Amino acid sequence: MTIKIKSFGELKELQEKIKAGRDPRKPGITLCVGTGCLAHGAMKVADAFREEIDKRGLSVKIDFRKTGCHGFCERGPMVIISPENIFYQHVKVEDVGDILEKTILKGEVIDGLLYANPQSGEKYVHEDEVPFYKLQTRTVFGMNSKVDPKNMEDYLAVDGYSALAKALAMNPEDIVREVVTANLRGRGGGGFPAGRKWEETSKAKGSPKYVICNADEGDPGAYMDRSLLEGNPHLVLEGMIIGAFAIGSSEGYIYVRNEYPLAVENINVAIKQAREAGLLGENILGSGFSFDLKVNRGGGAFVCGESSALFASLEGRAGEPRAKYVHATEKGLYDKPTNLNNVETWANVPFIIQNGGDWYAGIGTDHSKGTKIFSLVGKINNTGLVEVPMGTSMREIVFDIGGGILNNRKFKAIQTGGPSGGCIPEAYLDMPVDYDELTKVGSMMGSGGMIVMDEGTCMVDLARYFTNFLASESCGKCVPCREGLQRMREILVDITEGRGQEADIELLESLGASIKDGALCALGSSAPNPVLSTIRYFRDEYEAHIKEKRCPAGVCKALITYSVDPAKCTGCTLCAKVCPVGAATGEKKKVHAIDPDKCTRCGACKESCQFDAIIVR
Amino acid sequence: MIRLTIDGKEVVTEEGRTILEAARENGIYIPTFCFHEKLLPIGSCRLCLVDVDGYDKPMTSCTTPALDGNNVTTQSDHLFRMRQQFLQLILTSHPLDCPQCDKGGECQLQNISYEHKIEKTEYEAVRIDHKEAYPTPLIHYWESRCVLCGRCFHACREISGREAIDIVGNGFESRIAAVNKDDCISCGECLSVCPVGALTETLSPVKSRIWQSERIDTTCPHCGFGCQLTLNVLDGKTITKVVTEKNLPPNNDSLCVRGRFGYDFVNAEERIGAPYRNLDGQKKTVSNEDALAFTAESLKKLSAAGKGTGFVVSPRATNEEIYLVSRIAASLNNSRVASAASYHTGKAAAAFAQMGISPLYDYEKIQTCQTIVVAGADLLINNHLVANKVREAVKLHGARIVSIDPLDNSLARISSAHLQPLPGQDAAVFNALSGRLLKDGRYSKDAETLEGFAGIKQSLEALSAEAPVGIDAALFDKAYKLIADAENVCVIFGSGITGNEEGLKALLNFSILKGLPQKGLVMPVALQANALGAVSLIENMAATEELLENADIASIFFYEDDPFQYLNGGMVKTSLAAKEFVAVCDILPTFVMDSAGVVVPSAAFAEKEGSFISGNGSLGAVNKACKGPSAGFDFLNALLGRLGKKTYASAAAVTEEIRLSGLLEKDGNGAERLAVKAGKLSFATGGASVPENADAFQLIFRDIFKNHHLADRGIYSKGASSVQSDALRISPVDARELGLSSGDVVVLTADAGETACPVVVKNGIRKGVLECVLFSKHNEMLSISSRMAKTIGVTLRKA
Ligand SMILES: Cc1cc2nc3c(=O)[nH]c(=O)nc-3n(C[C@H](O)[C@H](O)[C@H](O)COP(=O)(O)O)c2cc1C
Ligand code: SF4
Ligand code: SF4
Ligand code: SF4
Ligand code: SF4
Ligand code: FES
Repeated sequence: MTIKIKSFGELKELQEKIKAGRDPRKPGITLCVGTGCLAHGAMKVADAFREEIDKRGLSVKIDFRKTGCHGFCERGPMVIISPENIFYQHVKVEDVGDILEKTILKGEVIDGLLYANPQSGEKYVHEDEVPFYKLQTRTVFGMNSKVDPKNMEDYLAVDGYSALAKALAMNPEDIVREVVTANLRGRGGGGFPAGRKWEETSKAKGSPKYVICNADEGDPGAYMDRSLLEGNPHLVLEGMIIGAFAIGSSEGYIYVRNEYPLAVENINVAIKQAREAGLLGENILGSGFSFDLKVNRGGGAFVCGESSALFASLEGRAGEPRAKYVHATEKGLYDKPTNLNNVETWANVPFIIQNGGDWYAGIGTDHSKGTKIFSLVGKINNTGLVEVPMGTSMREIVFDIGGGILNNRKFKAIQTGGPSGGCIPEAYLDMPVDYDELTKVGSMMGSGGMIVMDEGTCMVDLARYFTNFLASESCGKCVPCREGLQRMREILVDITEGRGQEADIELLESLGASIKDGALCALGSSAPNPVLSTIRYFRDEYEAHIKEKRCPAGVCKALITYSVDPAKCTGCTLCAKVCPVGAATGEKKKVHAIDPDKCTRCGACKESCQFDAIIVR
Repeated sequence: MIRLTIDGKEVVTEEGRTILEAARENGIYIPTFCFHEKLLPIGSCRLCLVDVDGYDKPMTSCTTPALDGNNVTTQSDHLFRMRQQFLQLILTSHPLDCPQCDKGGECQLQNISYEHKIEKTEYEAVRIDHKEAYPTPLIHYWESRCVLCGRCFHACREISGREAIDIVGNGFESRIAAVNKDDCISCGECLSVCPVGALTETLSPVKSRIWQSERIDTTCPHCGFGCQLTLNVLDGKTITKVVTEKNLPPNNDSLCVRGRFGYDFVNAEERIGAPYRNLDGQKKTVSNEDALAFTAESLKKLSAAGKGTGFVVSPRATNEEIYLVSRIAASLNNSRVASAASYHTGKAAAAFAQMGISPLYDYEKIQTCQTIVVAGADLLINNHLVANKVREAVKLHGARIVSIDPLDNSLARISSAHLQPLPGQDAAVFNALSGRLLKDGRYSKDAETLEGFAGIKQSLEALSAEAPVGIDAALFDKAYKLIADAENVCVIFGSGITGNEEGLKALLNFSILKGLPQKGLVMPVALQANALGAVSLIENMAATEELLENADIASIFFYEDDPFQYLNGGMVKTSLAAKEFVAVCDILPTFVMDSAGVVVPSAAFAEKEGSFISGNGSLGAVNKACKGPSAGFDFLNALLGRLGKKTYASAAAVTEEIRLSGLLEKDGNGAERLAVKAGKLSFATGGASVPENADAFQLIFRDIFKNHHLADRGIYSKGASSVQSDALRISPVDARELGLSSGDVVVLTADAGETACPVVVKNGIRKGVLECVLFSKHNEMLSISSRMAKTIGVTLRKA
């Protein structure tokens, strides 16, 4: 696109022109090439489509579009056939010809590519009938399946940048007021009201003022920010430009995690397009307002996502948190007033402006408004990204949308909010998910990570795992986090290895409380969550480890023994064959035995046994 | 003013203060560990936690601003337990090697743990030692003792303006490490703020801990800033380290590498122990009495014959010693006293006197200036502490710096504008600045009433008010704007300016036009510890070469001075050979001793009593820290006696006489300083002509006039030598044109000869300029020029 849009009217005209040029009845193939689908081989499928379409001379007859993540990553690569909205999953290169021949040319539905409910076996033809999608409210994320992130026309075709035009015609204070009314809270973890932050930054003295988009997304397993930036970069840009105008900022940064090259590429393409179109840079849409953006690659460490560490990193210094004596809204980047918001927070802004703060405030719970994107992973059938209104129950998310626990095992707990979130047990499955409720039960919203655990998970081992992660990611600056987490890690290792002592639980609790209250930044102050919440809900497991030297879930190697159930063993000798250390022995057709002194608890015997005769205790 | 309640007590404080500050001002104690008065709050130890109503968890009082209406609780069981817990956590990985630690007895961790009743720790852990090198060899980092409070790297950045060290690694692996070794200036600021024994100095071969040592306060002997420091002395004779702990002005516990690590020359093996005479090229040790008698007789005989005697006294000698030298000189016919102070401080003082500018200044006034001009002075080498004050003004008050220097001075990196005129062309820059102030009517209106205004107005109007040739116009405009917009301006200048009379006049005229020193200050850096003392005490002071070259001067007595350090050695040798009698009194072997008939030992600063007058005019006490006679003073005193003059009971008696002479007065706080003799302000005439540079390169000597006690015939301070060395530096542009890279040997030629030495290519140097740092190779470098100068013209070719 090289035309410069010089006014609101011209924008409208352009949008209409693009829409008019698009025939809604024209057959279309939309293929997801988001992170999950790429991992499932979506690029090969895309190449196959291109080739087959050309071969059949269909390129003018069909729209073929590659988009960012649709969220149902478990089922990738995914294809949507328009205008009917037929949903195909697990599409392979071999299926491409069939799809073109049968579905596109003849209108037939290919049964084998449809999604079937794993429980009931029921099949669904259309995307919006699939429970995973049907139960979501995909306000922010839904557009991902409609736009090719590298094609700005796609974004304009869905009325993209209309909110910007609307905002530029408003008073900056009125924009801030809409965001305050909407009660949009930060999606990056802290949940701080965005409107209040905007207000403070706009009132702060000093220039220049900066707006920054935090796309560092360091939570392992979370990828909503990545999917938004990769899949719909213009939405984030639009939010930021509106924010900049409201705050009175002329310079912005997008701080993108180093491991997200595609996000960097797509956002850079979008910035270039927006600049060329007069949506960024000098005199945006002829309004007299000027604003421009730079993209920065992140410093790599988890803690770099913390606001003061992020500023330090942007300034070219070590990405470490600083003690804050003044709010970033007054002295942030280069000690200038700075408004930092998360990717998803920014992405919500255009909708608020378009539909009004009151509309937005109508969605969600008392103090948590709008929708939230969660990344659902772990022992769950439908892993992926889901967007639901605040206040949706955990059960709905896990069972109805998430399709329940893998292999029909039993749900044990769910960890929300990333590595430093707490673990919530079954008893709370019906709680509405929002900022305050999650905090009440000892966890947090964080950036929206959700890890589902089944009965095979040892909660002590889990706490050890996350504490270990957090202790290694601690920047080392303040005492409670640096020394305290290290102590907690050591105590947990001792417990899981059978060296736990009576007073350890109390020690963990008191350490945890002090770290929570005393750490300098939120990494430290949230880091005890996994330990404290598992002690709160699964104290008996800790006690079993310490007092009985037993791991109830059968996970902690030092605390379990492998033995053979004589009632089930058929003497097939398989265990003896696979045991790498010769601990499992026995004669053919006779009950086998495992020598506990030799056994390394690798679990090979249990995996190989066809008769479930290996007992772990 | 805001009001808040702390522990039930209503207190008032200024807006912008932290809760900790508010508490301390009101005598309320909150334990702290990482906090340090001189640093911005770090917030790493979390010991200063307090409860503040309205916050859901405790806040660190060192980082939390006090707000009107706050209700703060500083002591509670809960807070005490948290503090205990954090201390325990610190102690867990801190080795209990207190009996082995240099800091034993003065460790803040010991103190605060004691206060919090920590008897044992509930955890155990061992911190690994990565054994990485610290950026300076003068400091050792004990990783396992480090509590990662962060003070050291904050000090490095905030006080010294360097970024040599940082915290690296994650979590429990975190440690302090060199991140930019070359940035380290070995100031030891990190060492001095470390609350535990994690940083220790490596210089002294013997260590002594606080209860074994005596601590004697004194004044730094190395430059004229007048830093107050404390010598840690073992057995009344060996200095084992320098500490700073009293927070005394002007340096408030900061020092530069010389002050902190330049003490070891006192203990040097090469010290002159006994007097000797050079007889037929042989050194012959003689008794004190023989040396005294010989000297007295020689001087008397020459005086009686009407022949002149010259004295060259070091500007590092005490006032008392200089006074005695003057007394001796006064008792002889046709005598003159010279000093190396004449080159810089002497010229500045004369110009100040002539223009009615007071030589006294208050370093703290720097903090009130919005724009600070640093001209021809590298504060890394001279008056380093002034650079710290300037940085403080930048950090705390948002001051801006304009550097005017062909070289990369130590503040250039934080300067808003760095103008780089050729050496000697500074006059053009200051005249253009003055010219523009006049043209825009933005000069101080008071200036109009001063004598000489019409004259300089006329001469400046004849000159251009635009950026002089070779100076970037935009940068010049920026510098001008910063100066014109500032209410108060501070002008700091060094020997780069005094080396050229026109430049000095132009700078001072500019300063007066801008309303200085009333609105701001104008200050010369003081090169040597007692340069101003020498200038004030010696009447009709000569330059050393005047005495050397003067045939009427038949004998010369060098008191702690070695002219080979700043003059052409060949010239010195020839002149001295023509003298009938040469005596030297000094502490370590120097080149001039070869030409002396008699050599007598002197005492180092730590071995004598007396005083210095620092560059700002304040009187600093020099105290005796090491036992033994004060050789130099005693010799001078006895010599006075032999010459039939009054002798003194002690150095204090001399001080008293100086006092009575009216040279000293008391300031408002009762501290002694030089008596002010400033007259009426006036402009200097001249200062408008700018010399032509004919030579290809202008070579600027740095570190000239420096303390030969650090290095002369040998290297006497391991401390200084481990971080300082001779160097010839060239700009990248010139290096490229000449096809030179670092390490290449070049031949320098000037009017008196040539010498070969390796070059280093360095950023920040102006094209056409060479930077020559002198440390121990004065002879080679100074031999190429016939005249004594800070800057000389040279040609250069690749060897
Ligand atoms: C250890 C740590 C890591 C963080 N990482 C991120 C991150 O990756 N992305 C993010 O948006 N916010 C992150 N945050 C939160 C930010 O500090 C900040 O609150 C947020 O970017 C503000 O934007 P919001 O109000 O829109 O959420 C992190 C915080 C901590 C303490
Ligand atoms: S809480 Fe942890 S990550 Fe945050 S500043 Fe302290 S040590 Fe660093
Ligand atoms: S070396 Fe000393 S000052 Fe530096 S962090 Fe360690 S304990 Fe603190
Ligand atoms: S000696 Fe000075 S420059 Fe070097 S690391 Fe320490 S504080 Fe920094
Ligand atoms: S600045 Fe001068 S007085 Fe201070 S320590 Fe350094 S040399 Fe000594
Ligand atoms: S003194 Fe405040 S955190 Fe260390």
